[in-house]
Amino acid sequence: MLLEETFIRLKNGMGDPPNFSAKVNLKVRFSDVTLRIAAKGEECNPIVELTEQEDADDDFYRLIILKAYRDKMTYVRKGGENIVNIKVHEPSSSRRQMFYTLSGLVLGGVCGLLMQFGLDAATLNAINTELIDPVRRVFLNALQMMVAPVTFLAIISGITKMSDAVDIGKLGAKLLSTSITMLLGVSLLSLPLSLIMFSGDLSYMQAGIPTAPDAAASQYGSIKDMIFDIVPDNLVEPLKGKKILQVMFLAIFFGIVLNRMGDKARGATEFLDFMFQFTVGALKLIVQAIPLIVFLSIASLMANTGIDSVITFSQILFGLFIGIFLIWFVNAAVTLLFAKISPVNLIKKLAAFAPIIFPLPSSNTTLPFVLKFCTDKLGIDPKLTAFSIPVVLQLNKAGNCVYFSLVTVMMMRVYGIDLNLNLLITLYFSIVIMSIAKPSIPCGSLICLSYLFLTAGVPTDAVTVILCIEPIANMFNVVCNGSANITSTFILAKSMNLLDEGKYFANN
Amino acid sequence: MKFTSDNGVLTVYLEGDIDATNANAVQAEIEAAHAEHPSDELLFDAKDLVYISSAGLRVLIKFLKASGKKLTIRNVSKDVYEVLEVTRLVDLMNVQTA
Repeated sequence: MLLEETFIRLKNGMGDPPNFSAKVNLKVRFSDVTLRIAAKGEECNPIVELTEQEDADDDFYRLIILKAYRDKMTYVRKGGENIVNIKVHEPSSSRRQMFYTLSGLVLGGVCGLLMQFGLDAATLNAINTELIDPVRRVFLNALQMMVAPVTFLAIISGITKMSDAVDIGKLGAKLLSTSITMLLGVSLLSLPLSLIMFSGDLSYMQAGIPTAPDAAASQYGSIKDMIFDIVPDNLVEPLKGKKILQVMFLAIFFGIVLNRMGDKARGATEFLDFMFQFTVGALKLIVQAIPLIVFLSIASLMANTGIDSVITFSQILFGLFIGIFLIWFVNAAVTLLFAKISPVNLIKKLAAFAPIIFPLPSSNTTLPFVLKFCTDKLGIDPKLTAFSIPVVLQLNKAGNCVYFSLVTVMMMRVYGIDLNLNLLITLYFSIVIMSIAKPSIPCGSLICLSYLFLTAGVPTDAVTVILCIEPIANMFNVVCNGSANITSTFILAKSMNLLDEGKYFANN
Repeated sequence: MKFTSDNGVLTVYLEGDIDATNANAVQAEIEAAHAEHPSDELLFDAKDLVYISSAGLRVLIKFLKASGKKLTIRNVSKDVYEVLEVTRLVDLMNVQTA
């Protein structure tokens, strides 16, 4: 439609010449699709001005249509041609960000290798300290500035919208118990997996990873310290962002208070919701810098450590791949325990379903596929899936467990931190808590990883290096979290007799 | 294009694309059919209408103005509805989606 309207406007604007013609091309670049219309002749910009008016019916409606889609069109005059580009489809912002981040990763790797071969140690050191480290520090400072407010507001606005969820009652309790059991099980297995994956010394990587001057020892000596530190002795300290558990505690506490106040607190909840949107907006601006930070971090890492660090990072991805099987194993065990039905078909069907959701950028985008899979392949009543899947989406973060374990243990190996029993237990519960509490915001994983690094005694600056594998790790997380969501719903369906076992056992 | 006349209502079954290349012909065809049943009220059925441009909207507006009433267009697809909504024709016509 825009093509036709633009063609006619261009033709009229160029004086309606006889034998008027225009070339139309369709340009496809990744998921960016653009229609290009080019006409040679007198200069004419057919993009409508918002103030433009027209009385004739035909032109009047053409103007309205062109005004409505004005932001999809651009004009340029080149080589005597009037060229209009019409955006047909553009990638979502998360896909675009992922593309830029992966580009930063590849370019940074190539650049780093070139620097390793072409520059001497003194020059490399100067580039690191004078250029790369300060830029990374500015980014981390900006991120750190947003951690406490965003986490606080994400949790409190989530809680204040939960009054309906309280009505879920028994069903919610069942979903919660299966989800938590799965999370505890996955975390229990993912720590040993991480220790096996990263059993050797990785201290050589320190040369390419920034270490803040205030790199601290483990934040908590034991699980007891961690628990007793959750309640802050003032309201200011948590907002400094270093103690994220205190921030979470305050958000949950104040959220419950606001819910108890009911209608009297409506103004406050609306304000908090606005502030949440505002801080997420600010955070989205900050994360625009991620591709640059990835580029600099990988360039620095490769220049200082060479190809060895690529192998170490590949181990995380391999660990995440194994993590999928680990989660399916836990899914099967929990299904057997709670639903008392053979989980073989469930796992077989999950394995066939995984490639469909693997490329999707977030768990939320898998929703339509998951709903259809539950009904068509597993035989779960659609009324139950419509309720259950969106609810468990907030609870099942098994993929995060594996990812957080792998990254934290890897970084502990990089900094030569010994894993004693006290730290292992603290880390185990911290990983479970962070997996559940991970806010659905840009850089949500980094906030959790910063906390886990603090817990383990790893310098928080090291999260900049992890940025580079985030987009790929997300794909594994989508499969892991999706599998856990489906399993929770499957168990609930079985217990409520809402499972069509004929369909489940069929080889469909 | 098909037409049916029943109980004083002339139903116009719009089909395919209505754009700058055929809008005048479509208009002439409807005018001819309406001339055979001048007292009938017009009703548009968009079940088989795939695409409509501003030239097609002009045709609808012409009959809308001539009738002086809020004409009905039924079985409107999602894409066609978007055009009618953007141009605010949904306020001037009785639009029924498919």
